[in-house]
Amino acid sequence: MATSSRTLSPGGALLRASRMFSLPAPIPPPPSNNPASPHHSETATTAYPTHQVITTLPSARKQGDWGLKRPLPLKSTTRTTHPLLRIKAIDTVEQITDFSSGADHAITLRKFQELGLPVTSQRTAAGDSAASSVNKMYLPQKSAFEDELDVTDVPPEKRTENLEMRWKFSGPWLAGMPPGEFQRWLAREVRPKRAAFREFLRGKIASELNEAAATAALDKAEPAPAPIDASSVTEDQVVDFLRRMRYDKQPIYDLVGEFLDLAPLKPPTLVQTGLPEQTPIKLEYKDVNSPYAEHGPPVTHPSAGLSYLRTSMYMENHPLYGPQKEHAPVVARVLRPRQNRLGTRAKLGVAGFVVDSGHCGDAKANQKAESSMSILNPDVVGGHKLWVQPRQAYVDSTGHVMLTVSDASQESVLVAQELVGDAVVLGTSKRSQPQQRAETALDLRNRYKARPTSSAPALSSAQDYGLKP
Amino acid sequence: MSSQRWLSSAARQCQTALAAAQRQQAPALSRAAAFSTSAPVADFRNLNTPNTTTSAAAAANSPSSASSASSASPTSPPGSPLPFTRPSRRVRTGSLARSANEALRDMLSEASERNASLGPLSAEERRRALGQFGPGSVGGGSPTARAVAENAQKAAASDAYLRQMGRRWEVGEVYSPRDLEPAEMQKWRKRGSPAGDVVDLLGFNPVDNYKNFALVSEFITPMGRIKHSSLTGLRPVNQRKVAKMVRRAIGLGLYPSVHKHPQILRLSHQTPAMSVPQSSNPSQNKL
Repeated sequence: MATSSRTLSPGGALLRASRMFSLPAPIPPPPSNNPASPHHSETATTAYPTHQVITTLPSARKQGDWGLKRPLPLKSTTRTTHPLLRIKAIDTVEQITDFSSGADHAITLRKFQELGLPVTSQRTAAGDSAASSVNKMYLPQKSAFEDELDVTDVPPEKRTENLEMRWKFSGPWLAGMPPGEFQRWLAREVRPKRAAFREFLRGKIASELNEAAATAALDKAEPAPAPIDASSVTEDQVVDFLRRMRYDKQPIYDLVGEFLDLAPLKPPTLVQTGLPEQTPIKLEYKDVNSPYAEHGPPVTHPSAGLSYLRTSMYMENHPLYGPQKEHAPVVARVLRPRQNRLGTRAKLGVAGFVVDSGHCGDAKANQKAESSMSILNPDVVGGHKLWVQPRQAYVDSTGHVMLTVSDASQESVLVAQELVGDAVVLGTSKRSQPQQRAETALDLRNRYKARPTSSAPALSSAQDYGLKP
Repeated sequence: MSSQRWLSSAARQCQTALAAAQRQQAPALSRAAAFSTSAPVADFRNLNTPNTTTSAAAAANSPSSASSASSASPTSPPGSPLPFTRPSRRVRTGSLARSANEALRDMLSEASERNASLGPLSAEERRRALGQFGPGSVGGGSPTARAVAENAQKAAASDAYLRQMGRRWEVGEVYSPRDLEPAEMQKWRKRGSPAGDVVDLLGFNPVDNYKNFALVSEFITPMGRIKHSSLTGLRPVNQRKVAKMVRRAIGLGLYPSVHKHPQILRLSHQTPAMSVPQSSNPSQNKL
């Protein structure tokens, strides 16, 4: 790297180091959950960041120097808690640099890394084996960085072999396509490739014929004949092959899938096909082991770069109480209490992600959490909060981070509360009462500030085990 | 509960010493005491009127208190709140109107159970018992009844606030403090045009679907007018096709021109679970 930059001209090196060239192009925004819904907000925080977030040194920030074409206005960039910006356009026709705060996603990332959760790959409820078992849902999931799942660089000739591990495909995942989009894709992408598909079939027929000839020669103890070329396959042979394949769905799908590089599909069950059970037609499908066949391949790497931890199988050690059974619980915000009329469960906010309350509040001991999730009490300043235990996280096929939380145990909550000075155990002194002096904005900021990842936490964490996040 | 029993037994001991004249002016007293503007009490009053017969019937089941029941029930005013009840569990968790009524019904049934075991209190007993909680608390009833009312009030406040929060959080979304602010929440309450073109998304030809009442009703207003493209979110080509579908359905006399189809209206008044049509055989699922 250093040598290549040295060989560049000084002007070239300057350009390469500049923000103008190092800012990547924005990625497409996440799709709307319900495109037909009339309720949406253009300015709401997106489910994942689409732009690079940048920051600058304090001394440069005072001068408005963010490494961009022109200095940014000091009024809005110096008086911020988190000097993090996302640049929407380096230059526009109005000759301004379009920027906005990037603190939302940057702080969310920091908060997620504080949870100390590894990102697992999304797997089917049945786990690895075909025999579906409900108990397997609760087995520990595999990290997204396991060698068999973390396949990023596949040579083109091995694309079909690695079908069960790959997560990136140039073709679409057909089960997730709306009908209109499927028709458009057929018209625009697939139809122009008809001639190329016939050529592809010729190659397949030629290799099939060569194999058959080689086997026949081997049976007769003769030397293998010279292999025929794809160009020598006649049009009649192609048509015959197509006629033979037409009613054999799995082989033709394999061929089409290989040609268009389609993402793997989960074969439908008999119930899903809607056919009667005593059907004379046998549905014969290949079993698919890809973890992404059921919900589609992810739009990002299965970890989404959120966390590089491989496992959460380590114990936290408290200086006084010794090894802890559970990881440190976290405070969750009740974003929306449950609604009994609609039968919806409460939505919690954990580390900036919306989480389904799931089985939280089910435990008899957690009646307080149960009551806070059932009603919105406007008298509670800042809204209801409760302690939860984050269990696992995965990134779904649309790039949304799915967290699973459960009730935090009373002991771990007490230990965590004592650590921040909210509870008294073994004669420690409680934090000074907030009523004694008025709370300033700085106090509030410190209370809700995400801990910097560089500082050493009081409890031992993943970093102590060499699991650097 | 023990203090309550003691109260009622003490009141019964006093009963013999009370003059008949006092008993005559008791209804006016307790009726004035029972008057309150708070809604649960008003509900209670409405509920109590038909239920006086049930409490009398429950009292008649116990032969020991039959005589006192016959003397007390005509004097007990229909609107007087019954003390010594527990708040129903449903009020704490559930929605306002239905569960408040149910809670009051529970209170009534508990009161009738108590009547069956101990015998009903006379009006004077009731007035004395209520007087124990101070003069101000007579209208609100016992502390437990007040708790019921408070819970109902809390549920109402919660519902009102939730109505202001238009955003239905989806699992996996990211929020920042700005998303919880009123300015951002207002945007989710407003009704804009849909983000995408439904016809393009689903890839169907609207003109061929003029017999699909459910589809036609999606593209007309309650007064039977064709919805504007700003409401449907369709691009001009598809908006013209949809308008043609509606005009064709109305012109053929298949669809009413001034309101939605009666079957759609009927289904929309039922519960959502009932309105989902169940197709038994997908192969028969023709237009």
